[in-house]
Amino acid sequence: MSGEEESDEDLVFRAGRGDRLAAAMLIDRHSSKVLALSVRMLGERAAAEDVSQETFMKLWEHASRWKPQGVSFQAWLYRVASNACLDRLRKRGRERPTDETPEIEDGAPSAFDGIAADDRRRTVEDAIAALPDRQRQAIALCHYQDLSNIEAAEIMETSVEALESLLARARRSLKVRLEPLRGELLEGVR
Amino acid sequence: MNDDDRMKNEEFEDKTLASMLDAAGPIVAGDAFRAQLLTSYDEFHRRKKRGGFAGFAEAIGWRPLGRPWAPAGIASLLIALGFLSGAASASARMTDDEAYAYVADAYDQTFSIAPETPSWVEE
Repeated sequence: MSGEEESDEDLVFRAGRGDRLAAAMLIDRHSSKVLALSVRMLGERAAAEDVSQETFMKLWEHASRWKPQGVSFQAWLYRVASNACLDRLRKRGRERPTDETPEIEDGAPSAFDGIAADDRRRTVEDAIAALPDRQRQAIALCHYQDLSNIEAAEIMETSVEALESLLARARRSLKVRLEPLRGELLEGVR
Repeated sequence: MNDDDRMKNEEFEDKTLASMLDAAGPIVAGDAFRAQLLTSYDEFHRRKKRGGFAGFAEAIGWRPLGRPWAPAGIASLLIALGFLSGAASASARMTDDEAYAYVADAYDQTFSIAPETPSWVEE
């Protein structure tokens, strides 16, 4: 064994030819990332698992004839997953215009005294869920998936400038929404 | 506050926000879910190996058609149908004699080969 990690593209090629081990390695590498992206975008785990299943099924279908065509494998996978999420959100009728900022409730710090880790998690999830879909997608890709703006823009099939604008608006909304909990939230991650 | 300070402040705010967002915690795919994904891979390849018939059955959503005996069953059904329709139309068929009479009749009417006597022969 050389110890050198096999590239995603090689694994996809092997999985396409029926190599189960290669498929298992792809699942190990990417299932958590795809699931996390879907959960952040949809706000619920069951639906996110369905989307992840669909995404991997699409991967198996395309594996035997997969070609890079200018995008990395990871970008392709995230694009499939996030498009599936957007489709679901559209079906749910939750989509709002991207420049619409949701109403922000007046947060009273005293109401959150001593919130537990679960509550902290729920609070952040709710704040993210309140964002318009494209802003949520941008935050999910850039913050939680740790992608560069260039990679995220590629996945969202938009320009880097447009992505930056989405991110700026999302951050502004999140700051306002989470500001009353700043102390509690920062305490939780310390 | 000058531009430099403003930029530093913004950077700090973004980092603070990032820390707050981290309170959502990581999301990890469990072993059961990973196993489910691998099962979907196995199913996909099993279907692919079984060939077009099973794939077609899957596509139209009629699973019994994807079972191993389905092609043989369909072939038997077609043979039986062919036999029955052949038997049903047998009575309507002509016998050889009838067919000969029919053709002979048609031949006489259409292509009479009685030699014509040219007018100049009698002259």
